[in-house]
Amino acid sequence: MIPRSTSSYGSLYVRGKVFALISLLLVLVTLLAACGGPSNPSTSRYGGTLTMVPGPTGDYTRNFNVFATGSVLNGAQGLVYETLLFFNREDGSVKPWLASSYQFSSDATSITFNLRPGVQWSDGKPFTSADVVFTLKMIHDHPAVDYSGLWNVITSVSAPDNHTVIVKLKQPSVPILWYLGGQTYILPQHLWSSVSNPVTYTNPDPVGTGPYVLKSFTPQLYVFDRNPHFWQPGKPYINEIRYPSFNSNTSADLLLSQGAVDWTGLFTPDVNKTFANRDPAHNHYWFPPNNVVTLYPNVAKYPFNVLAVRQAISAAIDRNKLYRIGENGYEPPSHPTALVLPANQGTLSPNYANASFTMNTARAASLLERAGFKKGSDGIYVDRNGKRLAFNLNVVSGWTDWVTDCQIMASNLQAAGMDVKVNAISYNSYYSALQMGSFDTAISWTTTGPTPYYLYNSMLGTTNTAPIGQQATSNWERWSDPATDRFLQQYASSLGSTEQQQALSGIQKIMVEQLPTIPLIYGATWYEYSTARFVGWPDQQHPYAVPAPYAAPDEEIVVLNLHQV
Amino acid sequence: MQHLLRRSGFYLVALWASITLNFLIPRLVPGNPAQVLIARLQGRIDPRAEHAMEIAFGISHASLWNQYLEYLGNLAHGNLGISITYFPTPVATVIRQDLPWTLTLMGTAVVISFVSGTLLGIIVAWRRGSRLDALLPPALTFLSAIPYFWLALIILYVLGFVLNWFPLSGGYALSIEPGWTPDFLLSAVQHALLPAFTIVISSIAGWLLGMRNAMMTTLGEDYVLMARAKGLSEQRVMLTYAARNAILPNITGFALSLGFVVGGALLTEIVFSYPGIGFALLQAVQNSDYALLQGIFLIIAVAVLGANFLADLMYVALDPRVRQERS
Repeated sequence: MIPRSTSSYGSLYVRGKVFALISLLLVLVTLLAACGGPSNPSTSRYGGTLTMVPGPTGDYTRNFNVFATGSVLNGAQGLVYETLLFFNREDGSVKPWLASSYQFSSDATSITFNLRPGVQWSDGKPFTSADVVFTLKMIHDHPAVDYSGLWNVITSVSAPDNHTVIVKLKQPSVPILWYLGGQTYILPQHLWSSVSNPVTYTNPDPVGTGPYVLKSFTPQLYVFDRNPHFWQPGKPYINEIRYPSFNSNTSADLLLSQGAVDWTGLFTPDVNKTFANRDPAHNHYWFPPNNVVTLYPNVAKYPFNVLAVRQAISAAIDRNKLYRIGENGYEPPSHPTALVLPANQGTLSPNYANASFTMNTARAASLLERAGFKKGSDGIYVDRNGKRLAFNLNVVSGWTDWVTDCQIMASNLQAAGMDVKVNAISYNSYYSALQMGSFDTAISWTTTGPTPYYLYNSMLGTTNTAPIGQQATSNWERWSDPATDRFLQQYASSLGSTEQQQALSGIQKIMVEQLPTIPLIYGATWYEYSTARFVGWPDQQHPYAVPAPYAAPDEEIVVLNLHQV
Repeated sequence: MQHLLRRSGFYLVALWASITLNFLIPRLVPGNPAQVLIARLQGRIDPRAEHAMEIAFGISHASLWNQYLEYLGNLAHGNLGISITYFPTPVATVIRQDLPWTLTLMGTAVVISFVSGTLLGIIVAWRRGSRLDALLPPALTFLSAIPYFWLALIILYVLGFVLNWFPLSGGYALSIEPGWTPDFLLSAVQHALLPAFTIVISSIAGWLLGMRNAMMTTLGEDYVLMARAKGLSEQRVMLTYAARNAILPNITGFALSLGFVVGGALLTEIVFSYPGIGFALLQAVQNSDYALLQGIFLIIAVAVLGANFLADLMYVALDPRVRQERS
């Protein structure tokens, strides 16, 4: 009994000492926290490692050449190299970036960029107007890297002083600002002037103005580290960004649902089941529309040059079925103006604020009958010359969602008295048919930009088309209409928002009333994210950038907004 | 010796033929890498960029004959060109980066599968009619009859995801810098186990059945009966009398599959996101990347021919009749 009691006294005594020590420590910690807390409440925001998977890419090769569109590693455009301005394609707003401001001359034939003072390259050298002039001249000297055709519009570039760049244009061209300011990554002259061929240079050790620098590279993973010279005070919050490589969505999905990845841009068939519902508090996704999947009728050909036929096709299509069945419920029906909503909401003409497509087979029938078509004994309409209303619908074989969409449309059109054959062909034959005009109708995408002008210009502008048999760049349906071109010209040459809106409203009217193409559904941006480690993500309420991790330079904007929970 | 010389001549002609086909086939496939890239980035790249890309990729409009001469010239200088998928990385760099993974994983898996399959085949044939013989061949055939993709996904899901015994993807842990360090090697082995296991269990049945059937024939031969009558040990009769004579067809098969090892295991690489040449090959096909396709096919052709040559040499060593008949 006695030994036991002494021992318990002893341990009590020791415990007492430990308790005293711990309490003392606690008091100290509380005191320290009290001192540090109020003066710097956001210390905990700093730090952390963000892991992102833009898509299944396979093994990496060390390539940080920003000109290598399609093969440059993600992050080079944005996290390392930056643009003069940032265009938010989700709402059309423009932010000053490496340029703190810009002005057009009153006739819109020259642009002056005022560069942000105090910006440094990540090696500590100053960033000046000479770098901007050098980059643009390099693009001029190597047409192979002039992806947006800048020098079709630019005549000269000059730098009157260290912080000013003046770009002179051949004709008034407001839309070039996006290509020039928003899509051209500025390179350091002191490093790139010794590069003999910027087309084939892999730029293994990138030096940029952006918030991150390359820390390490292996074929399976590359890591970015914060750039101590970054020009935004107090940013970035995140210490390290990791890009692991994956060969397939499957293995990336498994890691995503394990919580090992923070940000992905993957197409996932049932995203609620495989991802969101596994951790509803942290796992989120947002698939904003980014372009309009469109049915291109070859309007240079009969019967698609007949408005009533185009209207009948449009009225017969069940777009909701395309949305629910063809596209997993991810890509809703398009607005009749072909505006990408809600991103282009600000430019929607009030006349069409409540417009929407509805399926109406009876209307399709009456349109065709009024245009002189009569229903044949097989249920298919024939025209006055006895020609059946039968045509092909081109799609790429293997692009399963679009093939399903086309099958749905074919059965819709069959029900409305049109004999449509889905023509699923290889991508090469499909694309060459689009370009050369050797097709009846085809499903395809549209090229968008920060305002609807870019979609309208590439899809409807006469400069982007060609007669059947010659190569058209993007106006595949071959719409060539003086009124449309006048509006496009008016938009491109006017600086006033009233004139620009007038032009856009005019084209919206043409889209709705004349159906040069038949908009179907929206193409989606893929974006899944987890708030377990980081917050500040873009979402439907905060559309401050295109949220996909493969969108450049938007991924920089997102990363700069993220911080630890 | 003369036999070997004649075989060498044959291999040179075969090499030239495969190099030429290697040049022709990708060019007969319609397509243009610039357009393929536009499709891949649909809507994210201005269609006007097609012109710029055609210049950058050096899409040639020269005659096929001139392109062929240029191609032979480049090959002679060891220049495989620039990959378009990984533009502007040289093809040689892409192959150098991926090939070691493929060789290690596939090489090891094929050797394990061959050795264990053949040994099991010998044993099963020796004990024909036993319970082992009744169970093992059908069980392994069943496993190899399951489509590989599905089998690998199930194994990955159960052993990797649910039980968490093996890493889910990649060739090594991402926290480790690759290099000849014990940490890296250990991690690489850990990551290779599951993919190698799936390759072995899906291919072992072929070796086992081939060996078992060949053994059955030789076991009925008089010299086996005589060896037994002489009172030689079981093991000696089984291995040096029966198995040595039965193994020739399996050796040919083994040499062939060694040659194809460099082609990579596309499905394995996809399921396990394992680095390797198969996925690069797939990307090259999808992107009309002629240079990369040619580079990889060249390696495959050389490896297959080399492996066959090796098989020829082994035949000479194993089978005295080859030596006598042909020299």
